[in-house]
Amino acid sequence: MLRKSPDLFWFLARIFVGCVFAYAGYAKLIEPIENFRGNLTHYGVIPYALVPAIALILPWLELIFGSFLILGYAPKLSASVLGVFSLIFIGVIISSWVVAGSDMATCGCFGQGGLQLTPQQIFVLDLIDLALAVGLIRQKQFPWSLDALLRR
Amino acid sequence: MKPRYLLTGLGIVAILVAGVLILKGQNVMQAPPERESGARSKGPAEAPIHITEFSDFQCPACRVAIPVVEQIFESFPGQILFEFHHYPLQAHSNAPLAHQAAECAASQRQFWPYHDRLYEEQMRWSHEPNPAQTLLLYARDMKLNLDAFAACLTDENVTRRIQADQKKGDQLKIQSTPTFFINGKRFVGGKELMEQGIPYIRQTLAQTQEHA
Repeated sequence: MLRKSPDLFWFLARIFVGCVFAYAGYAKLIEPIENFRGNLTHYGVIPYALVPAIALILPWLELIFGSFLILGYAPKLSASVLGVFSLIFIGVIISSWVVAGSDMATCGCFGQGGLQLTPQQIFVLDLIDLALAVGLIRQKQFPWSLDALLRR
Repeated sequence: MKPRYLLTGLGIVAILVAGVLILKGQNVMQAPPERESGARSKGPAEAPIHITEFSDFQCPACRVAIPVVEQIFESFPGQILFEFHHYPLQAHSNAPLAHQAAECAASQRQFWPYHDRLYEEQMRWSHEPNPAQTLLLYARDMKLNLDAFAACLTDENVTRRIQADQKKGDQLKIQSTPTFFINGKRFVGGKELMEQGIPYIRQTLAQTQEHA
């Protein structure tokens, strides 16, 4: 039982991080793309020339790699990508506070119908996601995953 | 990597893309509001460009967008009909009262001066625990009937009008403020209005002149 506990913890961590990103991507994708574009400009630190491309690509990557992580498909790659995203989001939030003095009501991460988190709340969530992603990257095995099934 | 592994990944991606496209197709949005007589508007009713804004008086990004709107009026004189719709965000605790106060000013035909004052002094009233006195002070400065204004601040009919605007915004999937619709096309935030909205107005007007 004790030997199984770490496996269960990292299984739940995988599901948690995957769900956060898959949901964030999905919520943005079913809404008008202009909403996310506007939110990106509100941070005040992302070069405007990059905003249309980020708004177009990022939600798909969040959904795909989040879903991969939930299913346990290419889990190390997925955790790495989502860990890098968390790190970038943390950097953007800190920069928006320090450089741009941004005072946004919500982070705009989960669309209109979803969770309405403040930048402070999403900052904490990103820190948790980053820590869990780093832990997942260090795992040697991924029980209860597609990866384990396909490698048999 | 084994072909079976790669094909599984491609299969997952295909299912996700198909799922999102189907759900997005079902998630049909209501058309942006038509020109409404009850809305707080300025500009000629027959103007070729109709801008609808959903805004929150306590939102800093809405304050920042005001110079862009002013620039649009200056650049396209007589061509713009601008409508304001209330969309106080949940995270802004003083916003509902500020929107109610603006509606109360509107009932005394002073919506736009009050609107401008709320944005000019946003940093003041938005940080107060109870901004009612400050909002009354602005009404007094504009020489509004204070008894009527104070009674209006708690009038539930006025609150319902604001909530109706919010509901319209929800149906339009508004996620943040300010959100603008220019002849039905959506632009979110002052930066987007500046970078994309102004060229869109220029292009629309050029097309209108070509067809005339």
